[in-house]
Amino acid sequence: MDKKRILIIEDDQDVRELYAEVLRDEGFDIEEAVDGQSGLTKVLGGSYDLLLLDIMLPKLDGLEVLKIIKEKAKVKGIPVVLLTNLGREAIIKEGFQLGADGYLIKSEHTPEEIVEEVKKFLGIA
Amino acid sequence: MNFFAFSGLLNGILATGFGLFVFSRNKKRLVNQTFGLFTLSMAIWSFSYWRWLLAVDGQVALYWSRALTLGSIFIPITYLHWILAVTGNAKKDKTLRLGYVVSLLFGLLSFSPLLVEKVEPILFFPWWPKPGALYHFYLGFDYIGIFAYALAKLFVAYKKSLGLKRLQLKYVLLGSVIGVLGGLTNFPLWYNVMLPPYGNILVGLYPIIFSYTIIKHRFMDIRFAINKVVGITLLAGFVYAVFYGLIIIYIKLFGGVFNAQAYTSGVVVAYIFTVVYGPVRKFLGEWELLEPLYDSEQLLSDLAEVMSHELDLKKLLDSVLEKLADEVGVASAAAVIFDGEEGKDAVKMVRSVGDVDQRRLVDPSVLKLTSNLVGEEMAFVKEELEGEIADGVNFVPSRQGVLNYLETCQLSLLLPLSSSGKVLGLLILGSKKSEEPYTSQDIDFLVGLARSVSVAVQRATLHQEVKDFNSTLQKEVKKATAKLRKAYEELKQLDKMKDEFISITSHELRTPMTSIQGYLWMLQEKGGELNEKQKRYVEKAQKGSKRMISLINDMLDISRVEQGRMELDLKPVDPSVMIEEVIEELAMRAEKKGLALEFLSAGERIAKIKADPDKVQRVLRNLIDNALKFTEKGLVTVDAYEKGKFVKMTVEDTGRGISKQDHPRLFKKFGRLESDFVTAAEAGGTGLGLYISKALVEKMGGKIEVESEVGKGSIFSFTLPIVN
Repeated sequence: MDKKRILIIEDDQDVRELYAEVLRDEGFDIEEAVDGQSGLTKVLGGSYDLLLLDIMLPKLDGLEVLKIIKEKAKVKGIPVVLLTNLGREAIIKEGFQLGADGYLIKSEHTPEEIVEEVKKFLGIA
Repeated sequence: MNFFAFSGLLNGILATGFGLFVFSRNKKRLVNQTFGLFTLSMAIWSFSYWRWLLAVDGQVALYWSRALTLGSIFIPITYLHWILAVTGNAKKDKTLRLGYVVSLLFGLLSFSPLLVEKVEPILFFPWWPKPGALYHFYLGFDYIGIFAYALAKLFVAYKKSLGLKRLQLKYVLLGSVIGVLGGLTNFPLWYNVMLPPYGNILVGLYPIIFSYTIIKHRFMDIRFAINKVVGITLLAGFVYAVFYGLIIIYIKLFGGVFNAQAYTSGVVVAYIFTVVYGPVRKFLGEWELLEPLYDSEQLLSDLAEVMSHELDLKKLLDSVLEKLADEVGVASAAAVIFDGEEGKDAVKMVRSVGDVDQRRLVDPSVLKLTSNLVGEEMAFVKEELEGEIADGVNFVPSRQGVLNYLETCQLSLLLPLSSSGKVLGLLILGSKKSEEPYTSQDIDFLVGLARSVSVAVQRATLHQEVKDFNSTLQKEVKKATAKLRKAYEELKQLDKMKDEFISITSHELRTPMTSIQGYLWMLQEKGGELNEKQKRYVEKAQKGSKRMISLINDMLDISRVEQGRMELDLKPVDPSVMIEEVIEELAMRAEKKGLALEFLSAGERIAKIKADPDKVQRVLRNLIDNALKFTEKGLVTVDAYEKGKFVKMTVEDTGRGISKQDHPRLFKKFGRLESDFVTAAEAGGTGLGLYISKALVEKMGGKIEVESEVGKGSIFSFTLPIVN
């Protein structure tokens, strides 16, 4: 079975590297993007099995990125999991309306839990 | 009683009554005193005259004829004295003393034959007196010397006088001449000239004429309001006198007899004639005191109406002045209102009609003349003041000042406007358009008017003050409101900035916390084998970072609650499910601490509540977490039951309890307890949990409560509404 390809779009380098590291350890193929614009370019240019998309991003907001992805037939099937801080219920709701498939609260979940969640979305666990 | 006796009686009554009246009006004034003496002499003479003519034998007639001579001796000298007093010459005149000495000597001799020798019949008088040796000297001295001197003095004074004084003296002169001429008819028979004293009755006219000038021109400073009946009676008397005079002339020329019935019916006829025949009053000149030019009561009530509703000071004064000009016939008038706060010298307003020099009126150096005025209800009339000051009686400095003021401003009459003894202003009048002097009726009217104007002025002033105060107040309130609004806007701005700051800071803090927590986990799980020490250090760091994150979350919640941004997702919720889920979540922690955590109503059916499930769990988690935290041994029980329209959920522990005095602090922000020395670090809480719980419960329409005592555990409970 091919390695699952995951794109992490997250501006905070530490968080991005943390998630990339634990997921690579689990055998995923990880790509990283530091802002909305480059993230979107990568999504449209490559083929991914899952997107971990931060909401507050420079250049292009996470929800904007989500909106564009869900409008493009070519990529709209890729499951998108929003990365967020706790308590932004309104934004999460908006994200779901735009077609997000799930969300993770960064500060609430341990890296181990993140891995579990990702596996769940990919139908591995 | 024949006609002559009647004339004596009439003269006696008039002299006595009139004399007592004048004297009683002011016993201290020389004018009144000397008039009293004069009328006393007149009364002695007249009553004796009457008794003499009624005498039944020669002895009695002789006695009374001597008595009438005694009275007669003192008439000229007291008359002179009075005239000198009236004209203001009493102190200077040396004739007076001489006259009194001589009159006294004659008086002492009046009962000797030197003056009246005996009585004998003459014409139709049975006992007419015959003059003694000294009689001719007395007659010459008293009636030719003194009387002529007095009349001459009076005439000179009349010629020199002006205005009111001139009018007064004119009537004194008229009355005196008529009286003297009448009186002189008594003397011819003494010298065997066969002319009976028909003129004696005319002596009675002087009191009538003097009364008129008193009423009309305040003669001898007597203010006497007269009613119509008295006025007409006096007038009728005058008519009767004329009528009588004509009869005398008729009898003289054509002969005939005039009996007592004719006298009496003559009085009645004269009275009826006066009442019925109006033109006679007009013909007789200035008798308009009976029909005044204006109806003072009507005018006062007209003005009272204006004054009762006019609150504008300027309009008020103008309408009063206008009425004075139009109705009373005042040529010019002015009102000066002082500024009550600034004192008498500061003028708030001056209004005038006619030819008035307003600038002079309020010139401080001129206005100063009135500074001795006190608030009294009276009228200062220029002529009266002049008279008083010339007399030197009742001298009051304020009067001299008022007189000077009136002279400087060329006005005639001043009325102080006053309220409770304080001078509010002045009402100053010029002369009348008719150039007639002010009558006592005018004065009474004006004093009454000044009283009403004072009240109205005070009311208008107060009204203005209140109005000014109101508008100042309004301005101040507006200013203060604007300031407050600005301050409020600034505060709101600051508050918003604070909330935003907390919100942003909290978000910003969470990102680094995520990596701290994440890498601590990595260190523990994937960083290779850690020794015991390292493991302990990592655990401590993890605990700290966890607390840090929950603190940040609480702060975010609070800023949301306080900004009203807390959004609720209200729906029907099963309380049992809520409780069970939270218990399951926290079961591990209870177990670790060796505490039992039980849901007492598990399995029972409880009514659904209308609430936001996340928020309900948040509250439950907070309460149960606290209970576990502060309980060392025993158990924590959770329960839920219906209570009225609410479901009450309780969390009970067997912990240390909370003292009553601490209860109010529990639900405050960072409301740590004094009695319970628990620090945040020790308790592992943020100090915000109960505050947020309370806010959430109340937002959902419920109430949160605590029941606790030290050593007896605690029960925290909250209610939420049942779905209807």
